[in-house]
Amino acid sequence: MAIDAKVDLKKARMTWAMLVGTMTISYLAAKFMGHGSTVSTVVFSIMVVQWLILASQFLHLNVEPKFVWGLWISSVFFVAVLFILSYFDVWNHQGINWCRGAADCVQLNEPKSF
Amino acid sequence: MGSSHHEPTFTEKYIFPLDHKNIGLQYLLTAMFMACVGGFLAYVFRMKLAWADAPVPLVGDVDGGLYNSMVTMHGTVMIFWVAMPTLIAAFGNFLIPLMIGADDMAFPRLNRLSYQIFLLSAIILIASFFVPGGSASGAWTFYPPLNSSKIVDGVVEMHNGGVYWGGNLWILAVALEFASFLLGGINFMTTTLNLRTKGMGLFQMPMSLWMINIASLVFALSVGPLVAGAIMMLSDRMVGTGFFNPELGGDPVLFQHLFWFFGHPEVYVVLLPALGFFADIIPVFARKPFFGYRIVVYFTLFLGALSFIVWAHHQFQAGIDPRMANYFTITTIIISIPFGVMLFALILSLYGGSIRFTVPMLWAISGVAEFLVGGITGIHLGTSASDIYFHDNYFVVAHFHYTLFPATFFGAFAAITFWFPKWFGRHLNEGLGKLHWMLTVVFFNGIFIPLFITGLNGQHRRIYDYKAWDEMNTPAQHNLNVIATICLLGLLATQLVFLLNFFRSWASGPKATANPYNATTLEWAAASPPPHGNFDKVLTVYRGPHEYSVPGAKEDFSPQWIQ
Amino acid sequence: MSALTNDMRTATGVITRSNTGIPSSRLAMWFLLGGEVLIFGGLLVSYMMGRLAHPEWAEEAHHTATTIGFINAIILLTSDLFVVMAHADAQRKDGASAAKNIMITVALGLAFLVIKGFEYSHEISAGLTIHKSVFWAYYYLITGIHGSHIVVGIIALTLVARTAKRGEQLQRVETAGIYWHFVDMVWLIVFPLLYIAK
Repeated sequence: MAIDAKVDLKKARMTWAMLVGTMTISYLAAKFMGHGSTVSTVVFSIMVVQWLILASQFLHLNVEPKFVWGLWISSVFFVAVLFILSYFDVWNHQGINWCRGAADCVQLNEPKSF
Repeated sequence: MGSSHHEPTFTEKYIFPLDHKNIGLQYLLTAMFMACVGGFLAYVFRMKLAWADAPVPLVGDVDGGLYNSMVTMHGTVMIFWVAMPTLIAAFGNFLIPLMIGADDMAFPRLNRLSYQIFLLSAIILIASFFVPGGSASGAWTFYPPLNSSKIVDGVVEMHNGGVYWGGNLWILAVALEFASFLLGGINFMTTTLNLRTKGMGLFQMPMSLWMINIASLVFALSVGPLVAGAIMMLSDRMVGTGFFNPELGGDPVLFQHLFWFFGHPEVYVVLLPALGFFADIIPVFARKPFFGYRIVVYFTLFLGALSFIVWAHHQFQAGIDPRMANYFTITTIIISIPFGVMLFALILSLYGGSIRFTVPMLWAISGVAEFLVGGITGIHLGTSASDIYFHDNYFVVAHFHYTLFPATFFGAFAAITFWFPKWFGRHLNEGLGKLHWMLTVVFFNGIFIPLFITGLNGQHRRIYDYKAWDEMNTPAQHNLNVIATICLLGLLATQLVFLLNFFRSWASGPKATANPYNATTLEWAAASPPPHGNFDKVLTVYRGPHEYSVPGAKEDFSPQWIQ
Repeated sequence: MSALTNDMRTATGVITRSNTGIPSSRLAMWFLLGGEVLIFGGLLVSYMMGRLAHPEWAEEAHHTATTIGFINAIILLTSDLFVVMAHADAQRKDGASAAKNIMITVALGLAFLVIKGFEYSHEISAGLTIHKSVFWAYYYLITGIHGSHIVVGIIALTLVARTAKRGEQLQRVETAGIYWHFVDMVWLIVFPLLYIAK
C-alpha cells in the first residue's frame, strides 16, 4: 500500500526536469511572443499539466488511496464553483435599480413606489 | 501521553488537558459562558425594542450605536462561540473517540492547541467590548462598505481620528476561531477515519459521527474564501487598500460572495450535528432502529455538496444579477429534498416504537418539530421574488431563529441531557429537566411567533426604533414586541433552571451505571465517567449502531460490542 | 470496509491505527491542504474576477518582473527535488542525509524570499505600492500570503531537520515535504497569473 511506497529518485529527477522544462517554455513564450491571450492560454494549459505532474509525482497522489484525489478535486471544484457563480455579480456595473460610474450609466427606470 | 494511562492531576485535567473528554468539557463550559453573554446582549436590544423610551435596567440608555453593537455581537457570539463549540467541538471531542472505540483523538496536543486558540479568540472578542469606540457594530455579516473604511466604522467616529479597533478585534477573533475549528475539524476527521476499532466500518458508526464529520469537512472546505476575504477586509481597514471600496476600484459585493460562500455551509455545519444527535437519541427511547440509515447518510453527503452552490440566496437584495438569482432560487429549493428525507427519517424512527418521553427524547422530538417550522418558512425566503419582501424584516429573523435555535439549543440540551450520565457519571434531575424543557419550548415560540407577524407587518430588522415610522407605531405592533421581549426574559430565566440542574447534578446527582439507557453504541461500553484511556480492553464491533428490538434477541437491545 | 486490519507500527515503534492506510499525520495534512486550496482559491478567484472586469489592469500588470518570477519558480521547483531526496533518505532511515537535504531546501526557500524582497523594494521604489491601485493591492496580498506560507514552511522544515538529524520522527520529513510541495504548487499558478497573463 501507500505507506511504504519507495521514492524513485530517478523518476523524481525526470519529473523535476519536466517541470523546469515546461516552466522555461512558458517563460520564453511570454518573453518572445508577448503577453497576449494566445500565450496566456498556452501558459495556463501548461500550468494545469504541471499541477497534475506535481500532484501525482511529488505529492505522490499516484500511490495514495483514491479518496485523496477526491479531496483535491472537490477543493478545486469548489473554487471553480465560487468563480463561476459569483463572476456575474462581482464588478457588475449595472443592476436592477442602480448603476455605477456616471459615464457608463444608461437611462434607468425610476424606482417604483409600492 | 503514550500508552501509560496514569490518572491526571488537577492541572493536567482541567487547565491544560490532553484527554479528549476534558478538552470537550472546556469547550462546553466556555460555550455555556458565552451563551450567557449572548443571552445578555439579546436582553439589551429586546428591552430597547419593547420599551424604547425607558432606560434598560443594568445597562442604562441604549443609543443607536450601542444597539447595533449589541445586535452584531449577539449574532457573532451565538453562532461562532456558542453553536459551533457546543455542537461540534464539545460533543465532537467527547463522542468521537468513545463512539469509535479509541482511547483518545489522533492528535491530543493539536486538540489542546485548538481549544487554547478558541479561548484566546473568545477573550479577544470579549475585550472588544471595552476598547474605545466599542465593539464591532456593522452586523455579524460584516458587510463593506459599512465595515471597511479605515477611520469611520458604522456610526462611530473616533474623536482623535484613530482606527476604530472594535471591528479589527472582531476580525482577529473570528479568524482565530476559524483557525481553531479548522484544526479541530481536521483532528476529528483524521481520528474518525483512522482510529476506528476492529469491525467499526464507516457504516457501523452512529449518525452523530457522520454528521459531525460531514460538518467538519464542509467547514474546512468552505471557510477558505472567507479567510481570504477577512484578510482583504483587514487590509482595507488597516492599510487603506480598496478591495471592497468602490471609490478606489474595489467591489463590496465581492465580500458578500466570499462571506456567504462560507456563511451558508456554516448553517449546515451547525445543523448537521444536532440532527445527528437527534438520530442517535430517538432510537434509544423508541427502542427501534433508526429509519433509513444509509439513505440519510447519502442524502447528507448530497446536502453537504449542495450547500456550496446555494449561497447567494442571502444576497437577493444586494442587486445581484436576476438570472443568477433564478439559479440560486432553484438550488435553494432543492435543498429541501435532503432535509425532507432527514426529517421524515427521524419521524419514521418513532413509528411503531415503544416511546419513552425522557428529557433527551423530549428535546429531540421538539427539536425536529421546531426545525420543521424554520424549514417551511425558509421556502418563502429562498424564492427570490418573495424574498424581496420577506428579507430584512423580522420575518427573516424569526425564520433564522427557528432553524438555528432548535439546532443549537435543542440539539445541545438533547445531547447534554442524554450523555450527561456518561460524561459525569451522574444523573440529571428528571423533574427539573422536564420543567426546563417545557418552559423553554413555550417561551421560545412566544418570542418568535410574534416576530413572524411584526416582520410581515413590515418592521425592519436593523432599525432600533421602529416607532419612528408612523405605520409601524401601532398598539398591535407594540404589543407583539412586548410579548416577544417578555418571553425572552422568561427564556433567559428558564435557563437558570438548567444551570442549577447541571451544576447540582454534576456535584451530587445520583450515580449512573455504565449503560443506564440500555443503549447500543460503543460509548456505553466504557465506565461512567470514562477513565483516562476510556476502555479497559480493545473492543470489537459486531453490528450496526441502532440495533434495538432485534427479533429473536434475548433483550430489546443488541450492543455493538457484544457478539 | 467492515474487516479492518488497523494496527500498524510506525517508524518510532509506536503502534497506531490507520484504517485508511495513510498515517494520521499525512491524512491530517491532506485535509489541511484541502482547506488551503480554498484559501488561495478565494484570493485568486477574487483577483481573476477583478482582472477580467478591468482591462486597464493590463497597464499595471505590465510592470511585474517576469524574469524574477521565473527565477523564483525554478528555485522552488529545485527545492522540491531536494525535499523528495530528503524523503528518500528518511525511507532509508538516513536521518543525517535527510537533514542535509532539508537544509538545502530551507536555503532555497530563503533565497526565494531574498529575491522576492529585492523585487518588492524595486517595485515600491518605482512607486508601485499597495495603495497605487487594486491590482497592486492584490499583487502584494497574493504574493505576501504565499510568502508567509514559505516562511511557515521554512520554520517547519528547520524543526523537522533538527529531529531528523538525530534520526527521530522521520515520518515528519514526508509530511512537511507535502506542505512544501503545496506551497510550490501555489506559485505555479501565481506565476502565470501575475507575471505572464498580462
